[in-house]
Amino acid sequence: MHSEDTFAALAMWQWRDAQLTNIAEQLEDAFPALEAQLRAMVAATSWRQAAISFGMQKPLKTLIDHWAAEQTQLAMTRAEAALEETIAEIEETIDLGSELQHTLASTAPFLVGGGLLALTLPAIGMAATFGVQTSTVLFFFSTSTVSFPILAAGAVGVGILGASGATVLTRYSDQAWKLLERRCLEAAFERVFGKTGGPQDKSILNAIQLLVLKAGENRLKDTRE
Amino acid sequence: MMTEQLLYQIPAHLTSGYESGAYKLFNSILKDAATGHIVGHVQQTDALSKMIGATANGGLSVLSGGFSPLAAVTVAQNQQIKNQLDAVQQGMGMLQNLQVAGLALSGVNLGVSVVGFAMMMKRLTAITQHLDSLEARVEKVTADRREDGLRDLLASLAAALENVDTLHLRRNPTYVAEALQLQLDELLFMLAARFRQVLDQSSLVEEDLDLLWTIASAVRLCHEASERALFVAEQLQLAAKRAERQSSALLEMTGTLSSDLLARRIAQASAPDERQARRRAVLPQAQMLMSGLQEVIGATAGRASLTHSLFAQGASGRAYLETVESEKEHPLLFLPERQKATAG
Repeated sequence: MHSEDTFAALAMWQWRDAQLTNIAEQLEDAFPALEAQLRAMVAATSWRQAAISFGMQKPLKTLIDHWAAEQTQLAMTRAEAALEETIAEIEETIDLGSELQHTLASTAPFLVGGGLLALTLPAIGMAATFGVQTSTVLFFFSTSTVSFPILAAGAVGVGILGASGATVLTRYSDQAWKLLERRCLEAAFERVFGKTGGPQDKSILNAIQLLVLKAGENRLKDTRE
Repeated sequence: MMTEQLLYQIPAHLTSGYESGAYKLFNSILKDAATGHIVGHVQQTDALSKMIGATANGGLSVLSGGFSPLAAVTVAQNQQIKNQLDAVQQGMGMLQNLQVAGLALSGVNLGVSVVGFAMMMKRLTAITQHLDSLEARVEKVTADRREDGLRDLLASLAAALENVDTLHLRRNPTYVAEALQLQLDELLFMLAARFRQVLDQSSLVEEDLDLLWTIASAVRLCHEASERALFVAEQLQLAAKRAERQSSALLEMTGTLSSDLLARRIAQASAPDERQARRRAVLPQAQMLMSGLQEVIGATAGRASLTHSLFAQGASGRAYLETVESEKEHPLLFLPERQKATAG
């Protein structure tokens, strides 16, 4: 590899490293706000809805997907601005005799590389471009393979209480509601950060990171055209 | 073979141009920011090593003593290092880019290494000793955590270093240098395999970051030794080609790493509610590792470019090393890119 390609690859590596860290910290910082929304949602949930198996799942998923779409937009905007800066810096110092397009395109596959992230969502598809619309991101999350923990246990628990009569309900409703809330929060945590928290999980964090890297890769490939 | 002067004091217009942004330094490669053309290469000298060694208080004493464990580097403050480098007055502008990680992993990286045999051995001994302490830190040393194989590689490296040091005394240094280079190549492959092995473990612990740092430092030492051998043997074209390949190989070996992913893999062992705090605690070390690896790759690419330039000018590798090692006054010297200058 020519030294200019090496320095371009190093610049892209620094961009990638910064973006991945930024996204992890962004989601960690934003998660308390999602928790607050989830608590409010649970508090506003009717007994009837909570009593139905999977009754909580749809609103919970909708809430988390919207939050994830918002986080994706923030991450994409930040990453795009940083990438343009990086490209401009490379452009400024690359020898005019060499091809910038070739140099940038040669670093594109290096961005996603063979890392563990690439294994999490094999078909990232159309959403991976900067400037993507919220609706597209939402569609991506609703159809993606990011797993969603089954809430049936929590919902059924409330359902059984609901069917046991008013006395039991009065005695245990606070406890049951807290249980439901805790399960919703745990489910959200797992969906956002993954079952183990690692890069091999199917999680929103890994999905956003991979989306950003793929978008970066596509941006670099675009310079060839 | 060319015997005329190759290295000069850095011209004043380049120093001021660098400060104003007209010239940019990519490791040792100095470029015209407007055209991207290489105007020359910056070469560290023995004077720089001495100056850094002389400012022996605080952070620099940690970093100038050869190999430094990752944890020690992480606690050293970047600003503290910069302040100490201020004491090195000459060529200071060009030294501003030096990062703690690069200094700690492999010493100053501007140009061809001027580290002598004694320093190389000191660094290797420190690496080996650190390996022992790393093992002791891992609570239960299981079979896959033992580093006997790595210790054997370091012992072979020590033998190769001795041979490199006495190369110039041999009747036929070229033949021995080529044999040494093959031996060092083999060691490099094995070190790279061990590096990948650490990464491929099903789980990572904090000590693994330090182990990766340790292996990377041994890799760097291999590069320095093999480059020195080829310079003494006057095989500059081969040295340039190899440095180019080494930077690509290093990039391939480490380029998919990310500090966030490493930190998260280590944090996986923690309870879910403790993972974020753990990730944030481990992240600085992972970032320092990334930074060190990137600087080593940049330095190798810089050396490849410099060596290409030396070869194109018909320079003598041995004379170049002697000039750099005998310079006691100026911490940095300048190798103009003559071909480009005359062509333009």
